[in-house]
Amino acid sequence: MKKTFSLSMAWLHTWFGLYLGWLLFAVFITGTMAVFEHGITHWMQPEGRLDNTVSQPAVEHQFEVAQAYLQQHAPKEKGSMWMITLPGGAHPGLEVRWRQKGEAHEVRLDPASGEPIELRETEGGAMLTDFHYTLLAGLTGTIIVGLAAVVMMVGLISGIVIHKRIFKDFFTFRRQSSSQRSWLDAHNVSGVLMLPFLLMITYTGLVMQPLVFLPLGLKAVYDNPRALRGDSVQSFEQPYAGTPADMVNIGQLLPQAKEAIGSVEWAVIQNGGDASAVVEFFAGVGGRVAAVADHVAFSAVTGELLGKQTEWRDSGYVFRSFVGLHIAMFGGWTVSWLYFIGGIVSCGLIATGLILFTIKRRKRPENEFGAASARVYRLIEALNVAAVMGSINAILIYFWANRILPIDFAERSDWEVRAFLLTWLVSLVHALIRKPLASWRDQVILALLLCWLLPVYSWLSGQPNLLTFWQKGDGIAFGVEVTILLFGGLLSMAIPKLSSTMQGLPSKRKVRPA
Amino acid sequence: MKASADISLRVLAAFIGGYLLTALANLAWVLSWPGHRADAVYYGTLFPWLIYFAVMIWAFSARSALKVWAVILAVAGGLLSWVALAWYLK
Amino acid sequence: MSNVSVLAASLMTYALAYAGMTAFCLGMEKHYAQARDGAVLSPASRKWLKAIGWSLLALGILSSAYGWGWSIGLVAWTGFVSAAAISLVLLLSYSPNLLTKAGVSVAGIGLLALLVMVID
Repeated sequence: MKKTFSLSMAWLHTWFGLYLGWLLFAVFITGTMAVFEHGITHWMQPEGRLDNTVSQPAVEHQFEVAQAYLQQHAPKEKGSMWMITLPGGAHPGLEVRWRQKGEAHEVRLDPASGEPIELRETEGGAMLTDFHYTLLAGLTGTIIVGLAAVVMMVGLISGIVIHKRIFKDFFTFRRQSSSQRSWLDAHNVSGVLMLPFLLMITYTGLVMQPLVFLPLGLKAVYDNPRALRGDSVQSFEQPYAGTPADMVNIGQLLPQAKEAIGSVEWAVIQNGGDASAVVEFFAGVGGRVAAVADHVAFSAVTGELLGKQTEWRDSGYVFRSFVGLHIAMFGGWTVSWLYFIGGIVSCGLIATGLILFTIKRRKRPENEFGAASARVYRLIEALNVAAVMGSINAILIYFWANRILPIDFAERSDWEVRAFLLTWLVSLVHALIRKPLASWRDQVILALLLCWLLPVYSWLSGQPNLLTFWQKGDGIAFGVEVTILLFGGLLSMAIPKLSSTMQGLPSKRKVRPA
Repeated sequence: MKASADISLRVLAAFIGGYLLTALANLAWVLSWPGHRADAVYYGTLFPWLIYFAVMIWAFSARSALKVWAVILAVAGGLLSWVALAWYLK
Repeated sequence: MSNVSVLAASLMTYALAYAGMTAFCLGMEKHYAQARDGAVLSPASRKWLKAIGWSLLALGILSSAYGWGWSIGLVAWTGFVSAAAISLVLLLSYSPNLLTKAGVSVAGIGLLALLVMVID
């Protein structure tokens, strides 16, 4: 299209990067949060805080009380699924879940007494994960994110093509150089050093949703797409009998289950309370890259072993390895933190790319939009602020809303989400009103204050805070809050750079006449 | 051709043409797979994306936007006949 | 795995990745001069540094595989190498004269972690 291949790639990188960069930043920052989805949910429901200073009851006992609660509250009907998740890893509490009339129910139980623990109503970290791949807009959102992922991949490829000095500049970051040079170095170095992560996370994100992104092939051979899962995951479900029956204490099956599959992280009871009831124990997905959980099934009425699955169809295993690589549930906190760092650096890559677009044109306007150029550049500056700082502040305001809204506030979880979405709008309006660099600085300072004052607010308002998390040995909630504080520190490093750029900036942009 | 028409043709080729070939390649793969259908679907979702990236890059580097579309349509035609044949043989 | 051995394996893998990246970085003329007050890199040292870099990276794979098994280990190792390289670039840009010392000390921490890992 241009004179040479690499000029064409530069054009593609610039414009695709700009137009999709805004969306990609929001997708990457929420995806980065999603690594710690359960930790964030736990932090957003501090009433359910763990007290790690007292010892937890035995797992058998926890299964027993959870089962008792489900037998009392969950529906006994055909096709019912009751789920029990044990505390451990990122899941801090004993949880039971079921669906009734299409509505999901989720209750946290006290592992000792089996009494429900009242938690504040929130969508927690799950909202950020949802946003990451649906933009809270369902299927349409997923398709938009999918297209953005294709563009991301093309951005990476075209970026490699136009870089040309990948190995020579492998470690080069001339922080003190001219504004444009230092941003370009930051963009290049973060892209090159994170390239394996970037390629992996983008590609796996595309691959993991065949039903949405590539339905033709799937539907050509499967009338019911769910049967695909059935060809990979063995089911031990029994036909519904329709006769009520007493169930065994599933906790007693635990030794046998552990012998079959090694460890147990959660259990599912199908057709609970019926003569056909089956209990299935799952080993969790943390021990390998592929997101598959070995499982073993027993009759929940007689306790008889029905079968187990510890071997997987090769193709399904390969596919679930791609999924596993994306959702990063393996390798414990080490891998979680590596993904989190990879995510933050990727966000930096996208943000520096967006900033570069405007910095180049601040110096030497290119008149790319004809007579409207000055106004369009102005709009792009504002959208950059709204995409980058708007996303960061939206997440922080979401956290704040969780602490500020009264616990019994009607529809409080909806209001948390509204606060999240509204922040973007406010951020954009602010960026349109203020001069570009001033709005960058204002919003960076706001984010910094939001980070640093959050623990202070929690403490002043008498809510669980850093201190109480520490005292209870609740490392997860403590970690979330410390990470927010550290993120504030990271933001504070941007302020001197912004101030120095502001001083050197001409007050009025001159646009080259057409 | 006007520059705006040229760019629009390329954007459409990149996004729609690219998806068309990706989806058809996926379909052709699944229908031609000799083994179990689950293997066909699982393996078939892993690789067609490479076609999407290639088409997108080519759509913006080729000399002529019309040529891009001509090739996309020709390849799509080829894939479609393949799909039809595979469907018929199944 | 206990928390202690996870920490030890993480430190060990990171340290090896970091030290390896330091060797690669010092093996380039401009960074060698940057880190060592304008000294000139001799072709022999350059060769050596590259060889050391590759060996440390290879050892890092072993350490990661020891900590998490081969499949998870390889993924974690890739992450550690990226994270190490990013931190190296930051150090190089903020205080280049510390680069050599930091590389050697981090290698020392790695050896300490190895000791913990073996004992634990």
